[in-house]
Amino acid sequence: MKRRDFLEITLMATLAASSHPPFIYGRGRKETPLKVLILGMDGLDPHLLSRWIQKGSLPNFKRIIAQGGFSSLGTSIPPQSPVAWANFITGLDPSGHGIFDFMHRDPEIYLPVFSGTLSEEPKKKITLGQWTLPLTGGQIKLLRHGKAFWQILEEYDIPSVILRMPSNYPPSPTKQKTLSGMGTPDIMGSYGIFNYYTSEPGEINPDIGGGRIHQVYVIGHQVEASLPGPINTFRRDRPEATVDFKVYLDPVNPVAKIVINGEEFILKEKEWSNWRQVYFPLIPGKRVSGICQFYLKEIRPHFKLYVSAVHIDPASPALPICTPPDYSRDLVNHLGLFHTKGLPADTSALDNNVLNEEEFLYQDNGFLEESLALLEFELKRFHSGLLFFYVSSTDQRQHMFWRLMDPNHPAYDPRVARFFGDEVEKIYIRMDHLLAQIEKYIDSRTVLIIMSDHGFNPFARGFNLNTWLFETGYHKLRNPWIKDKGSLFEYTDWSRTKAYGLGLNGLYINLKGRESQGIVNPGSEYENLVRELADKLESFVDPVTGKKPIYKAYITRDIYHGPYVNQGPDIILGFNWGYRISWGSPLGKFPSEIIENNQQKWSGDHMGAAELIPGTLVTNRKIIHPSPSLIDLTATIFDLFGLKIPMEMKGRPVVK
Amino acid sequence: MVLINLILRKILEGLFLPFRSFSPWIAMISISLLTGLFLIAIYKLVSDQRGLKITKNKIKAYLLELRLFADDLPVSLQAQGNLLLWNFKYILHALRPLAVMIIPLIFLLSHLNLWFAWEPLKPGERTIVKVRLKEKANPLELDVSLEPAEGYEVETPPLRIPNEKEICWRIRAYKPGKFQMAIYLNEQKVVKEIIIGGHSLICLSSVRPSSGFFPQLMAPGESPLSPSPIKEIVINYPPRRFNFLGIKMPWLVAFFILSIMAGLMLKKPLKVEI
Repeated sequence: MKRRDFLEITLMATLAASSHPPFIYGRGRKETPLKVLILGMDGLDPHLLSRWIQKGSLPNFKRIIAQGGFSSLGTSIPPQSPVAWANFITGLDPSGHGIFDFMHRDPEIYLPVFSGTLSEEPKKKITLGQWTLPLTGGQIKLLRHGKAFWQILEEYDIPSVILRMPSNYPPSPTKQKTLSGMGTPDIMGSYGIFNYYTSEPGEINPDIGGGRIHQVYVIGHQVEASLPGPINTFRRDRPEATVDFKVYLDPVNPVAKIVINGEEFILKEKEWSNWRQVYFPLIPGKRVSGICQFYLKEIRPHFKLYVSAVHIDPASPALPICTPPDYSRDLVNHLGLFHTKGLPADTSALDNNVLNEEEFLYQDNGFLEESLALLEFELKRFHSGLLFFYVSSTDQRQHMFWRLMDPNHPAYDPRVARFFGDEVEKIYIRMDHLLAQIEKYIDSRTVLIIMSDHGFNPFARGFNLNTWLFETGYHKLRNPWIKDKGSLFEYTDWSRTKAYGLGLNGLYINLKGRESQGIVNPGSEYENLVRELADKLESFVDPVTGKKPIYKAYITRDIYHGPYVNQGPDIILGFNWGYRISWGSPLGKFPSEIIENNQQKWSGDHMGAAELIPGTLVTNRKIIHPSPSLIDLTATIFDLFGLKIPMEMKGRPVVK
Repeated sequence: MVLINLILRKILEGLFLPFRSFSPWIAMISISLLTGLFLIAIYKLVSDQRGLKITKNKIKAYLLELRLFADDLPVSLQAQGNLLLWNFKYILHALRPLAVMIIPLIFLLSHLNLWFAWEPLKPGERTIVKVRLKEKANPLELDVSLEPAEGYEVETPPLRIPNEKEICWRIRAYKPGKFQMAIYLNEQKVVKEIIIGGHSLICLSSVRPSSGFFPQLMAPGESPLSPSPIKEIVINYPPRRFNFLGIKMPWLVAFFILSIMAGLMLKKPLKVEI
């Protein structure tokens, strides 16, 4: 080698090495001295956080803020959790990762579909009598586009553990340890269906969302019932797989024995079981395992038994919930069974009075402590790289208990508020205690980031978008006189309809060439209609309050320009403080009033304009940017590890 | 029966003494090897070894005839008939040693069940204690109570199931040790052994039976109950599973696979025809 060549190579090597901070050891090395711990507290609101810090309820937050900083964190448009977390995961906006809402729509049939996941059945099957046997495997696809930040860290050999990340079901392929979070279904493939067995005839209501009510009879101090499970796709008639169980009641004492799958356990009245494994038979030799909790609500005078949604069994997952595939089994070996459904809190049971506030909190506190045990387990072996942990209880408590801390809320009940009026504050205090619990794992090498995807506001009034579209002539019905009876647009006359609302923030134009029965021509007709609708929505006034329910009607193509912009709605509604889409409108219903009071227990929400309900950023390092946003945090992760921020990401580092 | 059970318990206790602190797999492999050796030795002693050899040679010969004269239908049919006949003779040869082995094997299995079928309760773990009553007894007419003790607490009132002739309670273990659980039935005290924690390999009696040959054969861990309306007392210990490369199996499956493998390995060195 010539001396000149040698000098050039040496110079290049030196420059290359000096372009990275010294703590990065380079590809192929598994250790970095830096530790980045990110606690994702869903819905942690910066205004409430400030209020309770000032009150002195949150001393650990205060201490960390004094070390580093506190800022509101720009959220996604719309500020829905799957969208916001996908922003954080990929560092992209919805037009880059393709998630615009909890629900998207199928333009062919105008029906809602899950935005994050697509389940495909096996393409080739063979039918033998009553059995249908697959010849190829089925598929569950994650519809989120873009690389997850831990996939990129993996390329640089930076170890990551990602616990319960939302918008990551099924988990993105990686060798990193990940456990899927919000979006992970129960064993039935739904977002969670509880079962409630009652002998009280007045409670039998087949029309409740998120649960099934079963009438049972107590005969000879004994109840026989069955627990529904997943659809048995091995059978030609595709029935639900079920598992029978028996409950034996003592004639006098408030105690019962439940026998299911040959296993038995005893519960006293008002007592919860721990996780029980249940097995649903599919074909001889093949069964699906799930886990659920039983709650013996009442024995006499009426028998009432609540069974939680059947979660995917982490000891033997029937569906992909983690990477590597044996990670959840490993956790079970160390910690015992744990919940796997994305959002475990049974808000439907509380909303439908199957569980009361106390019962709901007992169950959700159990889920929270179970999750925190998981965090503690991983913290003990966290020596390098990145650890992300997600808490859903902050979000779920605010959804369900906002009504009890706000006397102006239509669902405020002073009697219940006396006992549960401070539940939202309590969950913030629990998070503050968590910070004290994990303090021992945080050393000088640890960057601690506490973040939320969005803030919160009251959901006092519901806006019926589809009713508004109908009243203003943009949506036509075949039988307008029974408009409030149907759902899923069953009475819509698509040949005369220009726009429809679907999802929690979305308004779609019935566009020719895109929708199967589209009538609006692309080009100027489309553009003019979108702007006309946006203007009218923004100027609409609630006749009762005098407020404008729509703070901002975002025209999607004006704010987003990525490759998947066509998958989103044409207008994204940003609601004003106190407003949200109504309960019926997202499902293609047409209630009689354009605006209605929300009397439900689900009383806090975050479908507002992004400007009104930012998320939270608290860190033990200095915040160097005055208005950080979710995508900036993604960029920050790469910057902290000394990596180049991928070109497609628009964020900038905000923590140093 | 009580004496036989006592002797067998003592023998196995002595045999497993060195293995108590190790993985139960070690004791399982050892006892399977010993059982294999024992069974193969009995087979050699009891069976007609010469007759077995002749029978097996005949079977081989008729199999060969079947292949060689596949085109000759009468010869093939005759060979098949002979094959059936000599297979039947082979089964007859095996019957005598099997008849001799079956009795010690049943005793051995019922005692090994005490060691391998269940795991002791861990402190904090909950389980069910059941009193099963005899046919004519009615649980609602009996005054039954389970006394709390040092190592466990009784968490529920009695749950009486008349149709099942059963009374049960939920208990929670909280202190390691071996305890006597006291159940009072119309002021008559009966006891049942309960074990919490301890060695990984331990003799656990899940059932205390009533007197009689079969109940004691099936539940040899404790002396039988004195005459009373109680048929048996049961503690639901957690079942033990033997994990082999991720496959979890009951002890009986592991035992049969290992003892058959041991028997097959030992038949050549011991020159046993089976």
